[in-house]
Amino acid sequence: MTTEVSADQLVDVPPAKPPELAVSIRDLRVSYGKFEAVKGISLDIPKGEVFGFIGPNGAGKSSTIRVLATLQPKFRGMALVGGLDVLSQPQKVRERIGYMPDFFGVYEDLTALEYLHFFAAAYKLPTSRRKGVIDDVLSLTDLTHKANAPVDGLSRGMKQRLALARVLLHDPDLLLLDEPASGLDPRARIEVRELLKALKDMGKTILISSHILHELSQLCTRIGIIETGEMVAQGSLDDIFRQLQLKRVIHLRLENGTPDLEATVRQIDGVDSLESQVDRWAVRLKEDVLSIADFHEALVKSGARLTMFQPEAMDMETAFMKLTEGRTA
Amino acid sequence: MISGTRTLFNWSLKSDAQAFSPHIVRLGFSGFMLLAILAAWADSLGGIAPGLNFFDWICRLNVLLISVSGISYFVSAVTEEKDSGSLALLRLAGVSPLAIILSKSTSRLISSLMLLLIQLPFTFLAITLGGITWQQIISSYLALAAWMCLVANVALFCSVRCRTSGRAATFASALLLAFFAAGPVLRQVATLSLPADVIQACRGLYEEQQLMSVVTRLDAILRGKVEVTFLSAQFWRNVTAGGGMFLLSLLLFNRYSDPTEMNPHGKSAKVRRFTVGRCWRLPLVWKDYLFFAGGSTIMLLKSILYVGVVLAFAWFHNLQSPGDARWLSSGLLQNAFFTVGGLLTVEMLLYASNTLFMEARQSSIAALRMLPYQTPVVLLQKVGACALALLPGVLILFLLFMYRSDVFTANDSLPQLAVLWLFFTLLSTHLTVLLSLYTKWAALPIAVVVSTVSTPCIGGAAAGLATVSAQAAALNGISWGMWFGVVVNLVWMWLFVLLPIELEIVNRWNRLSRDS
Repeated sequence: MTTEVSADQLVDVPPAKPPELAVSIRDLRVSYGKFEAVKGISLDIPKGEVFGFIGPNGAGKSSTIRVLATLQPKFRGMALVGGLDVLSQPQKVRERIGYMPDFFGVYEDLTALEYLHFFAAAYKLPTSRRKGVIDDVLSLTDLTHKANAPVDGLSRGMKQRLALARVLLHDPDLLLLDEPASGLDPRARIEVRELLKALKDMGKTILISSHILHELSQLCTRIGIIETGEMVAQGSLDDIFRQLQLKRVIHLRLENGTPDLEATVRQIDGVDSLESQVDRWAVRLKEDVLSIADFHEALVKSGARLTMFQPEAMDMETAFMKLTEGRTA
Repeated sequence: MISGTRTLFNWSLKSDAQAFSPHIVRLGFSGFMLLAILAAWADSLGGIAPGLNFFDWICRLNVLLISVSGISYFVSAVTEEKDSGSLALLRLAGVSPLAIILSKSTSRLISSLMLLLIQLPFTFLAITLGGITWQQIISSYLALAAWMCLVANVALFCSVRCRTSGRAATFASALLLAFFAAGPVLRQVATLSLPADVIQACRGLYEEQQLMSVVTRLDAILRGKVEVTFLSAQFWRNVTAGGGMFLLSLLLFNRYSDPTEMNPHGKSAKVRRFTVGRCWRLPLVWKDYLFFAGGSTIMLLKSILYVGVVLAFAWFHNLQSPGDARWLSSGLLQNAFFTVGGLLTVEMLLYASNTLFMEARQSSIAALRMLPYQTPVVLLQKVGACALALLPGVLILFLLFMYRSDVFTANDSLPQLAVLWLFFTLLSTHLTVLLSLYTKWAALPIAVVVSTVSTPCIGGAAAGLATVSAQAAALNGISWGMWFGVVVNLVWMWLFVLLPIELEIVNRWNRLSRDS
């Protein structure tokens, strides 16, 4: 059964509401003297999203995050957090964000509980709520059993979780995590990842930077790849793969790979290039012009006897390597 | 082992030679020497023996610089590795204690001896100004070098023995103060009517202290009390004691660099709850008071120390004048007041050198910057914690003043002294805080030298203005005019000298928050 919808009814339907943005950056430029670390980055992060910021060291990730954390007052362009301008309303922005730098500081003379009590008081949490909130963040970060342990007795992974517990104390909407897993062993890294997943499920918006690609692919709803201060690509993982597949490499082995056949293949509309290697041909395909299936059909029609037809697999690392050229600032 | 030790030592010296900043410091020092010579030459136009006066001043400045370096620059040689947790890594890498000590401490000693060496060509110019011979100059520098050797190695011992730089600095300060205080105290005690054995022991100790004292030695060289010899008893005693402290540090190194020994958290959770308690409304004051300044335990210990100092003077007065009903004579009251004031100054300088430096070293500036406070509020809370920790000293000063305020108010030079002391203390603490955000080690000695050099100029002007204010007030029949002048000069000092430093501290703090 189908339902007919009249024009009047269509008018009454409210238009789809644009997603509320947790972060909005337009043409962001950060310079240190003559050196331009960030060169006109623009991005939007809707609320509830986990945005992964990927790039080699010195690409401009930390500079961008520091702008959002209100720690970088000198920049050009626009940066809004929850609609608040980071430049003109830094205090209000700070109330909404939890920032964890790559070199997080923990006071080693304090116990974990004293450390959290200090920051809870500093965030002006009412005394009546303080204990409950601290118990909650300790439980969330799985540190309840270490509450009375001195901070300098904790492992690096635990200190990292304690730093995360600290940024959660004032229940921020947006978490800015700069390389939260750097320097951690595999177990600690998995623990931090699970904790971030829990925060994602709680509806927190997270902007996380890393150069450990497979970690972000398991966690992020969208990623942005940055190199030498420029955003090379951004979108969901599927979007990025699709972008990359426009020039997908297909490896071929043929029984009859003659120069004539090679010339014929080069003439197929949609073939960008063909590189003859020792045991195979590597064909770069414009996938928006010619799909993989159509290319296969065209090959067979041109008389090619295929023993191998292998489109190059795409993963985060391949994507990263394709999109970046290994340039450093 | 020898190869590893030599490599680390060479690397340390090479990195010092290749780094830019040590050469800038040396260049700055040379410029300072030229200025000092110019000042001495200008001084010579209306005086006698300007070369001697100039060199005397340089020597006193060197003694101050070396002594202050002991409680800041040299004392962090090993503790900075303990603070950053890298000492265990060095040990795991098989680096021997000798290699660590040579590369961390002896290289600093050599680098500092270079600062003495660089002065020599300039100080020889003092001969042309008159009043001093080259033999006196060489003897003085040998005395200073030996004193530096002793101070550096005492500081090294403190650095090996203590777990943190703060504790090592406190320990070294206590040892240095005890050394300098021992002379006058022993001399006075020896004049009392005590048992002959005690008097004899005090005299022996006093003589030994005088033989070791660089101040006594320089006085002897520059006043021409003795025939100038290059290698005196002071030289040999200082070098031998320095060597002894070096060996002791080496022997104790393993014992005090053990990671299990380095964990200070022996207190149970119950004890910590009692001593630490709930966080205050001003959280940074709570944190710094308890975990930086040591909390109530250290407050109590300091109170006992200050009361002990005053009681020592009272005891001394009782021995001198057994029938006197007063606790302290005028002279001893002023001595006690200035001693407590001096200890308070040292305490302030030590707090100033570490309060922001510790935050920078612990990479916690960004976390503090994210708090819902403006930077000045954060910094003021830290000042508040230090002020709270200084209360025992301030309270004792106040009580001494109130005990017989007439002794102090009758002293005409007291307002100028107060202005100069306040100027020196505030300027040096401000500079120390600022420099501690720029330099890793030498904030305190640099700040003290800059303050010492600038106090006669700017502080003298301030004290002079206080006198002018007093005279103007007297002409107009205003009582307390002198103290009004003091207040006016404090405002002037704050506005034109301290406020620019405070603004730079805030700027630097904000810059570090994004760099950390």
